[in-house]
Amino acid sequence: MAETTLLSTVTPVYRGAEHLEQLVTELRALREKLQSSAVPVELTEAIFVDDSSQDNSDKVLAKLEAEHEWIRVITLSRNFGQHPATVAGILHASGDWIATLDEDLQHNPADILALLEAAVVDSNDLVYAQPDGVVHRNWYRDYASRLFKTIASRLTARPEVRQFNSFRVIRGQVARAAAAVSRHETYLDVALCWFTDRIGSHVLSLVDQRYATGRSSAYSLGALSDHARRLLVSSEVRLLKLGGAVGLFALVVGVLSALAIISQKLLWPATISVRGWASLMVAIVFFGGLIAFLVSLALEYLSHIYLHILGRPTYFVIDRGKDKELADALKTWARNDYRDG
Amino acid sequence: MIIVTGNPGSRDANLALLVVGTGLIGGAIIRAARTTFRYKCLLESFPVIWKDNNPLQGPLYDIERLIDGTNINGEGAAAEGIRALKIVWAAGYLGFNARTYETEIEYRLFDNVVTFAESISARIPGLEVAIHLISSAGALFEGQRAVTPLSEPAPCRPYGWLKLRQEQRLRSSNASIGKYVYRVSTAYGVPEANVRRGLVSTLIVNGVQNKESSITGQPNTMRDYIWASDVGDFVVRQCMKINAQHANRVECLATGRPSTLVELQSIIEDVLRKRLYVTFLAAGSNAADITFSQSAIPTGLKTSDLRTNIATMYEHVFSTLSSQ
Repeated sequence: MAETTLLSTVTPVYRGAEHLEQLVTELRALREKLQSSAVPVELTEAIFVDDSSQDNSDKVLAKLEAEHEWIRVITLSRNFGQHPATVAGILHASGDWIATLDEDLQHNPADILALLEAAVVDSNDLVYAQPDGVVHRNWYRDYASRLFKTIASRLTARPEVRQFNSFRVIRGQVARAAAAVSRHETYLDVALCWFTDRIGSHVLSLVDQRYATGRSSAYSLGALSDHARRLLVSSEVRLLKLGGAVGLFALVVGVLSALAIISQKLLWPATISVRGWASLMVAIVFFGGLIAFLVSLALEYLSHIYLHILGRPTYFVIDRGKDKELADALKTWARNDYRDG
Repeated sequence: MIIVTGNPGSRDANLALLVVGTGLIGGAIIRAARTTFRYKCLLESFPVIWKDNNPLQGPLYDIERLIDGTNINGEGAAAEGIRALKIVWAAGYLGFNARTYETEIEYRLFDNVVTFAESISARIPGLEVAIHLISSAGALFEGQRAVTPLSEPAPCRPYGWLKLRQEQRLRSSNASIGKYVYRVSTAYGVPEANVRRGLVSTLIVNGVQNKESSITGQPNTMRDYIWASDVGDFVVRQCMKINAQHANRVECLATGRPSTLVELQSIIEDVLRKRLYVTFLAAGSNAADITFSQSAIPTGLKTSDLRTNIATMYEHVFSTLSSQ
């Protein structure tokens, strides 16, 4: 019989008072289903991170924590943002696998097992939920989201950016390591990618009911822009390497241009009628190229320092030894019964 | 071993606190008693010399005389009116790798203390006696995760069996003796001279000195690190309770917040602003996770932040090493 796998959930909370009770009901249903089944998985804790919530979420969470001993509430001293709040929750979680999900029922807790199965079957360390259709039911919002992810994945040379989603299941070791090195500007999913390239996705029905029905979101345009900025800044090395390439190109062009102008002056002096033009242009193109190159060199060193500050590791050791056992158990359960009720 | 009693005229004047063991946790308890409750110290530092045949005989005699109203020099009356004696057992020189024969010495001394408590309680009927045993959650729940109040201890090695035997010995003592057991998770605190250094203080000291640290465990090993002063404060508050002679409590002193060695290393490197040279030894014995559910933590236990405490430890280490 497989050893019990402990599962933790982490939910950052900002404006969730309306949905938290229902969310906990769904989580309890999942927990009880696991307890009564033969699957060696236990939902041992549900961690809610109160990110200086704006509605009565703190009172709702206090009540839920008092009612359920498996619920834990972490209260942050001020609003830090979704990713820092998720990092705080992960650092308080002890599960072998950690599922992160939103406060607003956009993510169905019942789907966590499907994500977990998708992870262990292929020995992935991280599995994202992929929406099977539009999430916000607003063409502008959904298109903008897809467009941004496409641009970001090109700029950062990270195709996995398109998969990033706040509904994810992460191997505990990877989650805690990434959270341990994350700083206030680190985009959590980028940090996760530093520790693993075994990343998968699983298609699910995801609808942001809050936005779709009321056109309200926990995120203002400013917050979304900040989110996007953080993603790009956390992946800065690609942009800086682009800057490095541009600097080198400028130097090469500068040197070649200088040689061309000097050759023209020496071989065909009559073609340059203005006195001093040749020497002035040589100085401009050569030193301009040199300055661009030196700046790009400085940026390259800066990117290494920045990644070091962000916490990118040199290496990380993982243990995936129990995946097969759990995958077999989940497949058996899926074949027998688990999707009913 | 140290005795502290309340200042004459204070509300604690009738209470004597005997702390056996002045290491990391014992020292924290003494400091909490002295500073928080303004106890005064009567008898200083009787070190427990474990190799002696009966190292506690002398100090226990002195305590008995004190309670009987005679001072330690046998000259006249000193501290009269002791109505409650709280004995805290925070002694121990063994660690996780102790061998069975070594545990017999510690067990025997603890048995001596419990026997002393039983005898003095029987001899002086009005005296309220309680024993507060500092046990080890790590040793008792080794390899267990999400420990709850319903979890059963399942020690894996002699040190854990020693702690369980000590708890059982305490539980089997006279009904009139108050029994408090504190199962402390991985404690850490400011490193003092002559006190065995734990993992966190070793990493900090070695980090400051640019030395390599060897850790028996894996980078992802999860433990629950609790600040020794938080333990000291909690234990002293329990000792202050009156009419506790029939108490029988077992508490898990942990934070409920697991930390991996990766996280610990990251925090210490941040605080020290330099890389640590760490080697993880491949012995599997210390690699098991030990974590605690929030429900296992007693209400009233205030726990402080790991990063802040590590910064405090660093300041102390840095100033100590700078002054050498």
